[in-house]
Amino acid sequence: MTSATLTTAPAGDAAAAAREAAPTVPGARGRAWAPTLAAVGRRLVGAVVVLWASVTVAFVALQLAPGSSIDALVPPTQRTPEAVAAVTAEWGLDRPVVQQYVDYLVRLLHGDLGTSYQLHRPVTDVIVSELGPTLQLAAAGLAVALVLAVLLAVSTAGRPWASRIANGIELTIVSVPEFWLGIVLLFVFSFSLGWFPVAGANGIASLVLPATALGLGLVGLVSQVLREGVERSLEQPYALSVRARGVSETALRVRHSLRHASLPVVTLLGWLVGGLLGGVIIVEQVFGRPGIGVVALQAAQGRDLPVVLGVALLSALVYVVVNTVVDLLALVIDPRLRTGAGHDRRARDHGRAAVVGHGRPPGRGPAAGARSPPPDAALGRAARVRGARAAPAGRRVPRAVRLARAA
Amino acid sequence: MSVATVRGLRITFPGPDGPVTAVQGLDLDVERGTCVAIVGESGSGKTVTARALAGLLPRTATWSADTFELAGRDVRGADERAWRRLRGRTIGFVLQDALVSLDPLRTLGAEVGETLRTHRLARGRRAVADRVHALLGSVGVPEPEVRARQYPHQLSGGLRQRGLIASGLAGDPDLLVADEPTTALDVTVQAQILDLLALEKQRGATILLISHDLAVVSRIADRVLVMRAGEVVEQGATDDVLRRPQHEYTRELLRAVPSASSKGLRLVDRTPLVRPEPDRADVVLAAEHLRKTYRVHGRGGASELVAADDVSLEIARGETLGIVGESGSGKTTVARIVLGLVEPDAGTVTPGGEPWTGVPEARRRHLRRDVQLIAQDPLGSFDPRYTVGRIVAESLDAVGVRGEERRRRVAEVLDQVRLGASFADRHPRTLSGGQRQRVSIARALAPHPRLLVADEPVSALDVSVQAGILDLLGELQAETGTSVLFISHDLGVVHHVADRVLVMTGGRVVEQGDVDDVFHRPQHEYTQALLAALPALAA
Amino acid sequence: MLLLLVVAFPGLFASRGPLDADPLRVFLAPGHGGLLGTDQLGRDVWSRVVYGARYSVLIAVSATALGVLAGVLLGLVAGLGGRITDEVTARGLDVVAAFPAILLAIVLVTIVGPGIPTVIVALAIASVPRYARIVRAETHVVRRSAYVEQSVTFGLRRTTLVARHVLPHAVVSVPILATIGLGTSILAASSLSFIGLGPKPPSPEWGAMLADGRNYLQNAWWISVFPGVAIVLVVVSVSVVGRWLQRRFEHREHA
Repeated sequence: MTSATLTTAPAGDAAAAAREAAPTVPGARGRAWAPTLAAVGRRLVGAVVVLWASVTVAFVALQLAPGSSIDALVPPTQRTPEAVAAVTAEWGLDRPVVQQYVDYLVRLLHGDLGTSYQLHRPVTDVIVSELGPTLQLAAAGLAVALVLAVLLAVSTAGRPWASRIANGIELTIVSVPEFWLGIVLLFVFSFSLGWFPVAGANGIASLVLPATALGLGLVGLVSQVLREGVERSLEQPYALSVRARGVSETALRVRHSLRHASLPVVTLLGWLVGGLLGGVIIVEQVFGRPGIGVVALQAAQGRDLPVVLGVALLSALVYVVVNTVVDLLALVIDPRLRTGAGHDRRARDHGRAAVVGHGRPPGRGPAAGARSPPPDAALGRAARVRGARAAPAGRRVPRAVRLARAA
Repeated sequence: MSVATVRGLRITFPGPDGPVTAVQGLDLDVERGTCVAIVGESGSGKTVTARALAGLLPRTATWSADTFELAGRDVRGADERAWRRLRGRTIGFVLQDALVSLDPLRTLGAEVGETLRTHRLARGRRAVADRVHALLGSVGVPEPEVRARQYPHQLSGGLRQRGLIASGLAGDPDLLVADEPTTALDVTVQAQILDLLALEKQRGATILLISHDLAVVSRIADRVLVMRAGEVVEQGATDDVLRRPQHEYTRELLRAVPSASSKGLRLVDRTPLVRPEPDRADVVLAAEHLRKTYRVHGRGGASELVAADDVSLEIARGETLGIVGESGSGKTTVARIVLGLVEPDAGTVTPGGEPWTGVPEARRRHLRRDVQLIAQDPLGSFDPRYTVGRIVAESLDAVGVRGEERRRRVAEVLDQVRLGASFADRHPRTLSGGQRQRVSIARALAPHPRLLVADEPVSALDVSVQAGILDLLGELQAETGTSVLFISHDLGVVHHVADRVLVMTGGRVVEQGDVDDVFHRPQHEYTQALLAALPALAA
Repeated sequence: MLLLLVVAFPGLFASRGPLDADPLRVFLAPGHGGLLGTDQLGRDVWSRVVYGARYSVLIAVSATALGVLAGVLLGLVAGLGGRITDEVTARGLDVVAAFPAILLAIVLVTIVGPGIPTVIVALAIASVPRYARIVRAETHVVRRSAYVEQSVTFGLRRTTLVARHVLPHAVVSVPILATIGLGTSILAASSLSFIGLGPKPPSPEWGAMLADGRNYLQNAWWISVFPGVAIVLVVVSVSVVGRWLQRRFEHREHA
């Protein structure tokens, strides 16, 4: 841990340095928004870059597909001269690659994803018409996951036995494939007990089982991260301060620890949404629900590339939007991320230099050996492990987050 | 009347080989309106005692006492609910290092107000806010309305600590327990916090102060308990204990504190330690007009932070040059430039007359053996996979010493730092702090450097361990004639070891010269302020 | 261990071939015909589960190996390279991470058609960011650590320094992650077969068996349930091993 401790110090101390350099003056509140806006701006730019790159990858995938683009775009069964001509015209295949690329971008900006060959409808229409049930399912699944996770984590954190049992349950849940869970749920609640409909997307009743199957898969992950967050928070010196004020254990958990623990969970949301998208495709299949997943699968089996790419780009868009929201949410939760200092790369790289000079004289009390790094850095890092953009996250990354990333 | 009366307090923790006793038969009386201090080194049991007084022992600990009364109430057998009523109202608790002891996600006002809301001492948003502002004002926080809305990371260390004290005092407790309340602070800020505690005592507060620092204790405590390994070895009025210590351990502790009067003596036993006079004609390293700035993003956008500004220094053979300064003074930046780890924006460094700055690494690599580093945190400077032997050998590797010769040299330097060659196979994690620092010194010494750069080499160590390391450095310097650039925030330590001293603040050298001259007859007002803030032992 | 044996010598554990159909013995419940019953074609479920281990483990191990290889290389390039290399690689990883494994597989299947290699490549690509990011982060940590800095003051060469101090620390956690990742890959692989993107029936792949048996859920639950149990058991045991490794590793780091 030592290496991480030392290396997380720079940014925090650079911040300290900045603080010393510009002592707080009354009325600084207004100006404090400037770096916040800058931080927001940086994240938006990053989001756009990722999105643009995803589009480019999709385009390159088209170009690199075995055989000519025609082969990839027109299934052999439908290869009439007219179809080929139509596709050539639509995709501008007779024009230079760069021109095709620019056209592709322009069309995307207009929301035009091409035309499906199986359905003979614009891809955008196909996707929009099927989006509703999928969104319902995803939202319901996420809600199930979050509610169960918070309950499980807060009630078991820091209680050795409960913790261990919960850990075992979580591990098992994480290891269960969603489709199997779905089948078992179907078997028990629909076939045997007849409580819920077997298939379809008609009203709340038909949503319960799919959302449970989808959500349960994520509960293990979220509650693990949350519990570790709460446990870590309870060990911090400020938790001792809070207890010393006579605050009850429950109030401490809810008022202080949960907020600290929610930081890594919010970060995790980015991943969760990825898992959710994958899960939706499968759960829709198990429960015979209409939605994007069905569209995508049928397209894959019919080699309907425009539809598949459309769905892929949609998922990239969702991912980017969610992650941007997550970053902004982190800013709301953790005031320390709002100052620009932690993000300044130069300060981070050379920070150590400035630092050591600005480091506090170290304590010699009992805590001296285990002096924690400035939480500025530590928590800021932990919160931004997503994308590991914050370089020195390394070993400070909580175990659960690492597991989460691996899952 | 006694606010806290404890007889025969015993605290144990479960260990791998049966219970470990942390506190053994402690007796304590704190009279209303007085300040009692518990001093001791790490592992003495002082912090555990403080925690026991607030009923905040770790879950695994078990405790018993013949008498345990707080404000006249027997609290033996009190349950969690009863303790909660006591905490904040009867016992206020202030921890060290407010940066981590205040919840970083909440404003200072919310933290201070929590005691009030928990014990329903003020009702309604307005009433709580008013009370919080009054409390912050009374502990010397300027513009309390503004500060209450700020987060801990936006406040300076001094303000944070004041805020934490305000939160401890919010419930007007019978006893304020302050555990190392000034430890992580700069000397001048420490002085202010001690003044604040003294003021609160005058206002009638009862304080139990926990500290490792005898000098801090001497400033405000009426009575002192000296603890070692869970037992109180001596107690009495502060003056008596510090001036006429009865117990050998207290004497040892007092002896180990470096200061002007310990110069030229070993700290462990105060026997003379003579170093040859520095050879002024042989300049080991010279640095001229060093300047280094960093770009820092803070409120209101990017700004320049001048870490070092026009710093010049010269170290003669056999000399110890001290650099003192508080946080952010730029002393470590200078050390890193001297080590060739940071390239200065302007200025030159010339070890042994050869160019060191502004040249490619390949051209100066052969000079590196001459300048070696002793870091503050030795464990962090060791590759976690390495044994002591490999760690020490690595500095020899780079200068081409290999095989049998290298093995011999490793054994030799390990002997020199009084560890012995048998340590070569040990793992640093199994060593104590003092032993680790000795390994670090051995490694620096191995390639026969001309200059050792020691950056806060003893600041993480207990005073008695520190004494051993400082003695060792002095002896090694006498044996090998190497020069030392000694960087520290501790004026006493620098006065003890250095021949000459540079005083830095804000990246500039404000005063330099012979260490006795500078410390006894300071010319610059900053140096004067530093020395005035220094809590001196009333010896 | 047992899993390895099963993968290597399925014949030892199953008396009947996975494809041996017996029209006279269809839909037999567990105990009545074979240990775990028989399916709609009279094939022995136990045999199929045993032989299925081969597919799952083959796919998961290859995908993990490919992913780890690419991930570690990319992570090192990013961690050791200059600022621009680092930033470009990191962004690239963000882009890959934007697509869930299943979607990647769908895209690949559309372009090159279904099959085991497609599944392997899709899973590998999807797992690359996971490994690369961690290696990159660890490399950054070590690069800036006090002991690397200390080694600079000895006058060690950059290459020596990287080989001696940076590399070993940067890759030390990879085997652990790979073990945990293996479980994830098994899950994902069976999911892909389940939705019909993996090995084609009648291959006894667990996910495919489940998809098969789903149609007979009402009268022969065992066809779908036991392959699922197999998946859960394997994934749980792989994860347990991974965590045990991790705990041991962390313990060593902190001791």
